[in-house]
Amino acid sequence: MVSIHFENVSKSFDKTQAISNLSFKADKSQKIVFLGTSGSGKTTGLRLINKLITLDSGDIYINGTSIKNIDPVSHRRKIGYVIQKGGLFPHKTVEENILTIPKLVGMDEKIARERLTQLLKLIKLENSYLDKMPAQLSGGEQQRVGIARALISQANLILMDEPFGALDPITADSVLRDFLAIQDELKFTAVIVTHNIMEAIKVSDLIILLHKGKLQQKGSAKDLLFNPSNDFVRSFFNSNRFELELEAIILSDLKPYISQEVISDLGEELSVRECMNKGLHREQLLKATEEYKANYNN
Amino acid sequence: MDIGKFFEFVKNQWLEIWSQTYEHLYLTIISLLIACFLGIMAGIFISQKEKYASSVISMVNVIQTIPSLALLGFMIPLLGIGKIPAITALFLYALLPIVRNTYTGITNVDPAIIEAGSGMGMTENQILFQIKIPIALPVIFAGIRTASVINVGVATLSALIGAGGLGEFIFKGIQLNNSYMILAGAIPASLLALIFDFSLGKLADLKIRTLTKISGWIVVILITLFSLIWYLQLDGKRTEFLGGFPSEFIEREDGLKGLFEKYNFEIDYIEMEIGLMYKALNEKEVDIISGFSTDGRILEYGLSSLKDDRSYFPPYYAAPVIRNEIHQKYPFIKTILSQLHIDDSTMTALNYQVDIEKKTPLDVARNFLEKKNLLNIHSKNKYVGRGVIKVGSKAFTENYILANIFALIIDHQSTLEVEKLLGFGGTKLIIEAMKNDELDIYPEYTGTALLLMLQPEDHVIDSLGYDREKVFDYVSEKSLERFDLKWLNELGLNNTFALMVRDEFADKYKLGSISDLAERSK
Repeated sequence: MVSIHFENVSKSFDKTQAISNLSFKADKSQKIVFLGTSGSGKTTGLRLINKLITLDSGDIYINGTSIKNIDPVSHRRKIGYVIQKGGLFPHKTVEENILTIPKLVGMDEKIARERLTQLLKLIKLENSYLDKMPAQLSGGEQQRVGIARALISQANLILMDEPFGALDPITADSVLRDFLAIQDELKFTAVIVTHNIMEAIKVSDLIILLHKGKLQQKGSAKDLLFNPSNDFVRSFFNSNRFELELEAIILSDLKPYISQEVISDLGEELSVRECMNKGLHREQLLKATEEYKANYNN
Repeated sequence: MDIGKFFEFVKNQWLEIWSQTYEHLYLTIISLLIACFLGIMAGIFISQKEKYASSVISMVNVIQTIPSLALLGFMIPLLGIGKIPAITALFLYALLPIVRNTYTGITNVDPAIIEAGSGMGMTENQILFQIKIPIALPVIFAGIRTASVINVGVATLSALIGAGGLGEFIFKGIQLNNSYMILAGAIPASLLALIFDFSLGKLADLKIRTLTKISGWIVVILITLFSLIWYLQLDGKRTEFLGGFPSEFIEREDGLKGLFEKYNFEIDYIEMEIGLMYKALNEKEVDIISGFSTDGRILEYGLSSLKDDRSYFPPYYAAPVIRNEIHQKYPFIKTILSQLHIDDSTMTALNYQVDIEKKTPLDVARNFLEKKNLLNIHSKNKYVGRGVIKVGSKAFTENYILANIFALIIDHQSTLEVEKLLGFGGTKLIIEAMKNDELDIYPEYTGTALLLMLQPEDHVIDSLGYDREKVFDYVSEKSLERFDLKWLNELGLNNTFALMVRDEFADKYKLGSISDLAERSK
């Protein structure tokens, strides 16, 4: 588990303050989400971590080491990076794309191949995909390849900038589920930027909610929903609050007992069909989850 | 236009067509390769250093706007004549599309892809060479394709500065009015353009992957060719003197070939456009050129013409030619015109005033006559005659000046009215006008009359031996017989072919005549 500390971090572009005096510690989380609307500073925050953007003031510590004075290129090679649509190189095959960094750093080919086979299985792509060009893949497949490319160097930290943002909802959901499964298997730490609240709730164990470059609240989805620290946080979740709360409860409460697949299916069913149609309230919902838990245990 | 004749021409000239096509390809490919090499480098450079981009692009833009013949003209003082200036000019023309496309191709790569690369830890150079350039390759290839088509076209002009290529046939054909020859140059040139366009188009259609792979090979071929050319350029010896002659002079029977035979010598020479030829002589790129003995440029560039001491060139002495009927009616015209004495150097000076100093032929003619005091005649001393005399000329400077001189002097020294009909497009046309009584008098040359109007059999020409008097007597007699045209007194100037050298060159090697040159060249 990688620990990430932001210490009084500030960054501005021209006259716009993108991040102002941001401090937080994430020591025990594997899935950290930077959540916020556009202009909240979430992407800037992410890019500061791998030094695509340099700090104005303050410092960031990764596993206790300041990033201020380390070489950006070697720093980035230890960190996976996934952007919208995967950012695949259009002139390289899937295999060449995934093996870009291993080739640059001269990783042992046998090890790289083994890793490639393993990752291909995890991202649920056939071997025949290796020789395809990115343009021949669907959006979801491209994003899977992007994830594999970020993980090939066995990075224990990967940064993801709106990784599911360019996908249609159904594809986004399936890639997201597979991503969670991969994370579960490889146990790396991911920092994910998103503006999609439901996605944040589904994917996070820690949310850093930003607004205009300032930290609004840090905590689990449940914390933010049920114990908002200010009015902004409260109002941020107001649209679809019911569904969001349901999702948060189910995920946080049931997760230890059931597999990811079931949770998602369950969440879908409960939130849409049972809760909305039958007009369940939060208390009833909590009762329902208890029942599910009990049933599952039996 | 006769297809059969065309094929016959192609069959006879097959080797020449092939060698010109080869030269053409050579010029195009070498200049294109250099342009690719430097243009792509420049394009890459400005894509990385944005602040230089606009100035570099506008610079290559400006080069592109220089007319091609002018650019070749600029090359002569800088690089002389032959293949090197031609390749340089072609290279400059090819730069714009290559530099611009390289630059646009690289700067238009999706920033997200570059961010992905740099985010995963690629260095600036790795991003440039592994991502930006490979992705920009199709755009770069499109630029090379445009450049190649431009170069095939412009390369035809390099024949004018002695670099060879299919332009030789095209320009020679235009000058000799030989359509078959023009086509024998134009068709292969168009085919080359199409082949370049097609094959580079195919190359650009290939997948970026394949392109990336073969671009390595292209670099290898490029380097091999470069070294090969370097080696070839070192080759080649020349005679001590180098000639520069227009295609017509090289080609015609009574041109260069006969000259070499008559004087029994030979020098290396380069085929050149007439204007560029004078320039090349002035820049000491060539030592000997062929021109006309009364050309104004002789004065402009300080040239000496070598005396044709074995009478190889036909005499082209100028004289007024008048319809016999008019001559009988106004015999005083002969008296008036016999006051005119214009030698070669006077004529050269008059031509110089029109061609180089840009005065009008009328002003030059008047000025000449006033200086000789031939216009200041009291009215009671004028020859009396009633009627209109129509004075004509052909369409070149010297003839315009002479016709104006005739018109002015007749107008001032007689009571005849004078009408001018100047600028006939050729000897045939002007003879027709004389026959139809549309013209009464015009300046003609003995050589032209002999070889174009009368065209006697070879043994007649041989018997005349290009002797000044014999030729004059022959053309006077025959013109009267056949066309009822009367030759008046010779003016004194001989506007014939001449070999010319720079004044100081003539001094240095003590060259006064073609025999001296022949002696010196052995």
